[in-house]
Amino acid sequence: MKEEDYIRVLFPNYFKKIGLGLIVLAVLTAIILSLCRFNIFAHGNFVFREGFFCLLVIGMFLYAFSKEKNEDERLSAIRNRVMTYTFYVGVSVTLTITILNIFLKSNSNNQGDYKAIDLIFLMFCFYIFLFITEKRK
Amino acid sequence: MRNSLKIERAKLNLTQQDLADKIGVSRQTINSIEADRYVPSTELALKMSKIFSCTVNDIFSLDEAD
Repeated sequence: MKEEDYIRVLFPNYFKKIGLGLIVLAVLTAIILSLCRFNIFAHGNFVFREGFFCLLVIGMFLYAFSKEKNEDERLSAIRNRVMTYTFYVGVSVTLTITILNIFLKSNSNNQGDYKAIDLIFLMFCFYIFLFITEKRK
Repeated sequence: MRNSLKIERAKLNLTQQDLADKIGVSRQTINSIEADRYVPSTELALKMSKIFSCTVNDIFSLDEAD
């Protein structure tokens, strides 16, 4: 079977392991730091917090967009469907938070901790969860 | 959309994995097609018809609801 366009844009299968490794590394680092009574989510620890999320998002990105061992047209259809749902979730969450901010009269400089990386993290969580669930059906 | 993939496969005594290997997809894809959860592309349908030496219409047919 010739390699279709949708398969060509994905990373090779071994990137899935690299992605998983980065996710495990990020989570383990956070756990070890918290065991050492170092809260990476505290206000003063901006670098650690952002580093943790960057590592996590890179890992999730590689995991989500690398080929399965047997990538075929059914998986491509699932990817398309899951991607659409993920986009809906991203838009819904962004709009909900924005509207809530309007009603709570927050100004643009004080929107809590909601940032682009948080949205991307949430979208990747949703994408990976839904893709694995749909794939197993 | 209905299909007689399972019957055609049984005639040739092929497992889902055998058929999947022959047409270059995963076993889960064959399973999904047989369970009417996934409708294959024209390319895949033609490959199946070639394996079973019949027409695509012999394997796939429209439901009354389609």
